[in-house]
Amino acid sequence: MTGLIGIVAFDKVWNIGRFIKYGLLALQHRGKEKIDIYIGDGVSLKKITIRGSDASRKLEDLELDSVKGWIGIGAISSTDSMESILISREGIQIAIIVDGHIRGMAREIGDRLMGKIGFKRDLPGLFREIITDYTGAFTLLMISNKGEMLAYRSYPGIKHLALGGYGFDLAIVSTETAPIEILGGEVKRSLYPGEAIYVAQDIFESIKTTNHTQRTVCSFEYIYLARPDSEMDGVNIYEFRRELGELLGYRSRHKNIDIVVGIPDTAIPYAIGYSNATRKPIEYGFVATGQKIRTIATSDPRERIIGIQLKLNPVKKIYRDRNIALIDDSLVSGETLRNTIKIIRNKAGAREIHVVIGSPKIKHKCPYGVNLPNQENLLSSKATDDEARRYIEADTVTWLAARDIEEHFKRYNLAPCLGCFTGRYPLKVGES
Amino acid sequence: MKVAIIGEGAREHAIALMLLRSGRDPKIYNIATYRNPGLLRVAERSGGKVIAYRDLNPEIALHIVNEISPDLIIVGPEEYQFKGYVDLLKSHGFPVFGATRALAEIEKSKVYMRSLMERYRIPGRVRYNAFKDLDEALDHIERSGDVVLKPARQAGGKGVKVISDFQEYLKESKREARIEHAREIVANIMASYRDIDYKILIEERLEGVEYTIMTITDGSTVLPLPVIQDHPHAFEMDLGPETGGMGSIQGPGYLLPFITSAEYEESISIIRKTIDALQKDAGELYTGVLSAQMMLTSQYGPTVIEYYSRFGDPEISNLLPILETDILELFEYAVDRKLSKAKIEIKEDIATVVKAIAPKGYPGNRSIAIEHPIKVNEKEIDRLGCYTLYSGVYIDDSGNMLTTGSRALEVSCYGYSIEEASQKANLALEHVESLDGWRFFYRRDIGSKTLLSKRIEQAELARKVYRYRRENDLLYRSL
Repeated sequence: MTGLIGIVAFDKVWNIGRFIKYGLLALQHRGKEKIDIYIGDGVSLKKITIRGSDASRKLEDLELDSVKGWIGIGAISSTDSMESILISREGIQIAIIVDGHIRGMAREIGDRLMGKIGFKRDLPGLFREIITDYTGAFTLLMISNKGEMLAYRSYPGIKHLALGGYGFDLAIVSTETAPIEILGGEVKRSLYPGEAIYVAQDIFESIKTTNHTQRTVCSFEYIYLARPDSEMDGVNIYEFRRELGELLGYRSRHKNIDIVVGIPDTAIPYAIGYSNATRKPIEYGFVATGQKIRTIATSDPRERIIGIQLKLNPVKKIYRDRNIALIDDSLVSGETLRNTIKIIRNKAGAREIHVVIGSPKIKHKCPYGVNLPNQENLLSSKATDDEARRYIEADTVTWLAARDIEEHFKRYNLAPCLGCFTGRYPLKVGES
Repeated sequence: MKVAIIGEGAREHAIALMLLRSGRDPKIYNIATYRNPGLLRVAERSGGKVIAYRDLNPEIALHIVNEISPDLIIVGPEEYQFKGYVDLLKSHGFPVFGATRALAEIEKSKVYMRSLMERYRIPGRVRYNAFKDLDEALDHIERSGDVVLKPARQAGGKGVKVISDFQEYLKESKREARIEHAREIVANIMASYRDIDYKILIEERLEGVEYTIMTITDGSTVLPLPVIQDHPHAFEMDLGPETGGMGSIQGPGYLLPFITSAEYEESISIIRKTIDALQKDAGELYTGVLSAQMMLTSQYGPTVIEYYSRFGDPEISNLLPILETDILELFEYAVDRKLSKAKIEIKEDIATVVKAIAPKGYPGNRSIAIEHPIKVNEKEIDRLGCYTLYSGVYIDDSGNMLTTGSRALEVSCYGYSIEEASQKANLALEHVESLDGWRFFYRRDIGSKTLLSKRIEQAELARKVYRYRRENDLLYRSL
């Protein structure tokens, strides 16, 4: 999974390095092992690369004062679905970052653009010509050494890109809206599926590459991946999750529950919704130690266990002899829940533990770059409901159905990709 | 009767078009630095003409005026007022509508404006610091946070830098940008002006929604025009650098959906107080237009951002479809100091939207935006019920219409709603054609439902905060 940020300053008095840095740090919940940054000053482009499990920490320590520039793009990622490239030829430089599933796409687009760029300096026109050859789930950012930026969200919009501004001075694009606000900017809107935005100091253009207006969005993004303070395609992520929690709550009003506990941080909105609907109190059940670690955004299995244990020290007192509704946003390998339940049952003395999952059963891989374990490690894929329940040692487990998610999206006039739940994907993989 | 208009922009074109409607059939003469195609046509139609001198100055203007011997002179642009055109022509006995040099100081020196408001304790003022010396300004910038940097003098709308400063982790970058910009103000923007000591004005940054109120005055009576909102960002969705204005919305009626009548009245009372103070200070009466660029701020409610000693451009073009009063009569009443007899009447059932179109390169890189040929299909624009107003274009010797690097032209359209007028303006601007393939841009979103509801939302937010601050007596106080 990847987070992208792109910034153009309309005035050369700016050095935007720090903005890129904090923009990326605001996206590190999506992955933080690969960081690529390109910064330009209208003459040339510079590249900064950071790798390793502590890449985001290195980024925090990075002093960007030596890198001067008023235009830049950056990516923070956990997967190889992020590609970036810097190509220089005959005084022209372009840097491209792709968050997508088509192998070698950044280089291929770069080479094709460079092949023609000498004859025709109309970058947006050229980009439009080339990009329509690629269909799939991807977003792309590009800058040139002439101070131009292109941002593209592929049709039908499975990956998200938002546009924002900072006063009279900056245009900002980002995978999520939260980084725009964290940079002090104002969110304008989501890019339309198939829309490219071309920004330079003296021009701003929206380029349509399709006449279709359908939006198909990644349901996993809404359920788990995005920050709850982000908005995507007009949907407030927090509200979306809380409403799903409410739906689950209404359905289980008959259950004999004393308290509601959400697994931090992602499941908290669901737990609030569940508590609203069941009228059972929500409790502050866990306290985290140290830096927040997102178990799914970490590919190292040891890191994952450490992450689970550090973020889930229970406030023991609240569990004793109580019936607990334990809310999580998703059940992937079952590891987190198995560990958590062990803690609150064996150490804290909970009576019954009813697990409530804010999403359907995840049974399939994601071909578009969301890191899910292989099918053999997906609990819902290999086990029956009862086997899954017994594996995590819960009294009951409740999921949402894929249909529930679809219905919920309908309220927002959006169609979701439900591939990881149903195995049916809106696009062929690698389609081009 | 003969009327001379000095100036060559869309503002003067709009004034000329409104004069043309007058029952008194004025012959319109235009004294300018280049031949604006719109003014050229209006002047000819009225039986007058355009007299263009590239190096126009007050003495040349006086010479031309002596030849024409007009019954009324209108001095449109601020720079002409600053240079004393009005003073010289008046001293030769001509009736002139427009601010004299001393009164136009309210626009020319942003420092004077702030100090006047401070000295007379006029509501709608803000905290500020003014500097004659760059180092002193830089020293101040090092210590200050959330501020706006402005050149001390009106510089064609250039050089204002608003940098919100809330995030501690970005402070350093913002401080650097501010320092860099302050240097730029002194080295580039203010360097060419010899008529002012101050270089930089630093004001507290305000949050809210901007609007313009233009007034006509004879020194005692002040007649307000409807609230109009300009859109200074160059690009769609309020993105991009600050321009002289990419378009403006008005109506229906005197208010806009995001300004209450109490806020309108309060703004007018601020303008009246300013005119009184200004006249006291300058020792003369104001004949002409005073426009207030206002903002409904969270901090204070209606607050003055800037004053213009003339009609706003593009705002004046919003008057074209709605003004029912004979504008010539208004000007004459003002010059004769009998404005109390006049009344402004507008069509209150329609809304107006003005949109400007500019060549790529405007406003930041004008050198690439000049000399591009365009063609305007005015018949089609007329058919939509819209007016075409020329500004940054001129006619060369072969009759081609070429850009000057600024906003090329404006269209002014009306409808039963702002949205309808906006859609007409979009259609109208489709009839402007670039003849050399150069890109031109305009803002389709001005007057759209989306943008309007955003403004309403912003205004409601500001209103909530300033009412709280007023109720708790927090204005102009620090602990």
